[in-house]
Amino acid sequence: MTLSPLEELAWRTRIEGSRGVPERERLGPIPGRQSEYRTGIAALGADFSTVDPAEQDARLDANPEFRDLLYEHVVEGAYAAPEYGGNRDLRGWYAIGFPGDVQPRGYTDAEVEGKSEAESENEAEPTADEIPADQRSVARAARPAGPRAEET
Amino acid sequence: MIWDAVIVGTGPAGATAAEVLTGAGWSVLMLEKGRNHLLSLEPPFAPLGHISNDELKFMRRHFLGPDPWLEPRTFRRTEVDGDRLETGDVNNLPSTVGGGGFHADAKLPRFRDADFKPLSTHGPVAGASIVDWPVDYDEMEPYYAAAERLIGVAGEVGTNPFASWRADPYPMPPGPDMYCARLTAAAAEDMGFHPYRAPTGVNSVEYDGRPACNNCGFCGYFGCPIDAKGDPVAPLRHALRTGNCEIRDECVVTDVILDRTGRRARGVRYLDGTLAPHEVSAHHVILAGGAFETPRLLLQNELGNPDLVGRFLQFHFQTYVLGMFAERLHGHRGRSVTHLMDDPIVPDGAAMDAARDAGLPFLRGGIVEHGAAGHPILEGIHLPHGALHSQLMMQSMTRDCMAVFTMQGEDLPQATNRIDLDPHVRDVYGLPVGRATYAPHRHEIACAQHWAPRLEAVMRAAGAQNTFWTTSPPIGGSMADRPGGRTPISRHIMGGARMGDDPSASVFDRWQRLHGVENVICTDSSVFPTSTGYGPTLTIVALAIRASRALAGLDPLRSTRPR
Repeated sequence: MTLSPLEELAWRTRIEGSRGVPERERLGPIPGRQSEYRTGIAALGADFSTVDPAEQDARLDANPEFRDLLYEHVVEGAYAAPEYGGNRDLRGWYAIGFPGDVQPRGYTDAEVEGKSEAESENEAEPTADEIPADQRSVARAARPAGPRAEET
Repeated sequence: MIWDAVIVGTGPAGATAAEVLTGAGWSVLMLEKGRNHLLSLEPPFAPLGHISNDELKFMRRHFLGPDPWLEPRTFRRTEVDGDRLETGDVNNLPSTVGGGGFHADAKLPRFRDADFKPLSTHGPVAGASIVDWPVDYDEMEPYYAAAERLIGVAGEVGTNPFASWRADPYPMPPGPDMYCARLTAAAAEDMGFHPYRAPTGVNSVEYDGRPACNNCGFCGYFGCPIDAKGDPVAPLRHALRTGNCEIRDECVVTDVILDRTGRRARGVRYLDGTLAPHEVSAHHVILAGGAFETPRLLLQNELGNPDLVGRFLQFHFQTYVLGMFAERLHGHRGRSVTHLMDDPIVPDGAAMDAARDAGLPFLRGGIVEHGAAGHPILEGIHLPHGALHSQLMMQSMTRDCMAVFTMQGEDLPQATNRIDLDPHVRDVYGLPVGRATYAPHRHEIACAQHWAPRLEAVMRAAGAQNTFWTTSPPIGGSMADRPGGRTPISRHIMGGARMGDDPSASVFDRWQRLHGVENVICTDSSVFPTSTGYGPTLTIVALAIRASRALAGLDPLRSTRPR
């Protein structure tokens, strides 16, 4: 599935910024995610990955807008479907006992109506990886390119 | 070519009109401004495979449209807010083949007898324009039954003491009850409420060539990957199978073209996905873009009673009561909501006392939906980051341990609540966007304040350790954090071009024909004179069947009240 020309305009504007292009500035100028990331990462300092966690937190808190953007994308990466590149081997979902997409198995009526059988959710739930990847849903492979593009 | 009808919009309102008219042999062109993700437009009109159980795509990337940057709306509460407070998503419904039906969780209750005559039943309220509908329940009953058969509604008869009469049982028995709704429904019953299994447009058995739901859990706000939800795939597929129907997606209608007399429409103009203009001719123009976009199109074209078009915009005033349980409720299994109760719609003694205290003649709330909470990205974003994050995600207080009551409070019609054209903001097509001016009547607020603590008590009796309540739009409540923001998020939009017999007091007539231009028909919820406390979709579909049958010269449907 590809983006329509208008969808591509919207996502390119959000990601690349409006850059003075009139059709991208209909609602005013937009800096764009790429620029927000470049500026935000630079402000964290080149030594960010080597400083201690308390200092890392302090530097993130010094720039709350970038911190919140980063946090939103980290959460999306951790808990979105693995096809987007995060949640590798479904670890994000395992960690929180979320089964994700259970098509085509679904749940039995008893599983809907009954109390959770075991509080160890990882065992109680049918997990997406018990189902061959090509059967989980007919459409898992056919996703729009826009969301992927924004995450890169 | 001159089409018998061109239909603007492919949601439940347009799909139903297409089903009836193509069945009567009419040639029908459907124009949809969004993309098609619902079904192949070639026989056998199978699913396209675009629907997946994917929170990111559906909830966070505008997959079903509209993209709020391409097609913003604007919002203000009153004129005191200036030209606008917000620009972007204003109670948006999907803009896609299938419209709002695509993402709905398909609870499909009927209105009650009294809902069609609120003025004669309950009398007026100062500051609101309450009117009776130009149609009553007895006339609507067979159309409701036809709508339930068309979509495929699963439900049970006899458990809702407030329901009006019906001639026949539901086409299907109810599906399985969600675990948390069993807890909350039992507690509600103990406390004197009357919960019942929600009539739901989700197959509990194979129906109309579509499979039974397998309880995968991605229902409200998602599309159904296996076609177990009947609305709106069933009417669209029926229409396409006649060979009389063509659907063109990514085509946004800009103009209704009138003939020289100004009293007849002769077609429409639209822009395609490359913004190239087109014109089509039709004997009838059917407006079905929903109660936000239809008034906007009328205003752009200066069609309809200029004193009334856009006015009496109604959203349901939603009250959310949240209960945190110590145990896991697995609300991600099965349908999104399985039980309803109508008690707040029919005021009891305590509600009448509260009304009197508030200086109102009555309090009419809405159905209370027994449901559960959301998905992991939504939960994660509202939790703090840092060391506590993982622990809280594992406990899952706001996803796997939370039950939710949503009351769809009746929203009284007010002339000042309206859609008009924003004076400055344009969409990607170069058209002025629709602007909503909306503030609830004090009736809605009094209703929420009366019922929320009572529903919190039910939650606690069901086992919730903590309860909170809030509303959309926000008025306070016990929740400091108000995730709804300032714009309403009910996704139920009604009014804006009310119907009635008097052309000076309504925009469309009782057959949903535009006063003054009778071959322009509106089949969506723009025509609703009042909002009632019920979800609008089944009534949209039933009215669309009635108006379309009349248009095609088919006999009225009749039914007999059982004795």
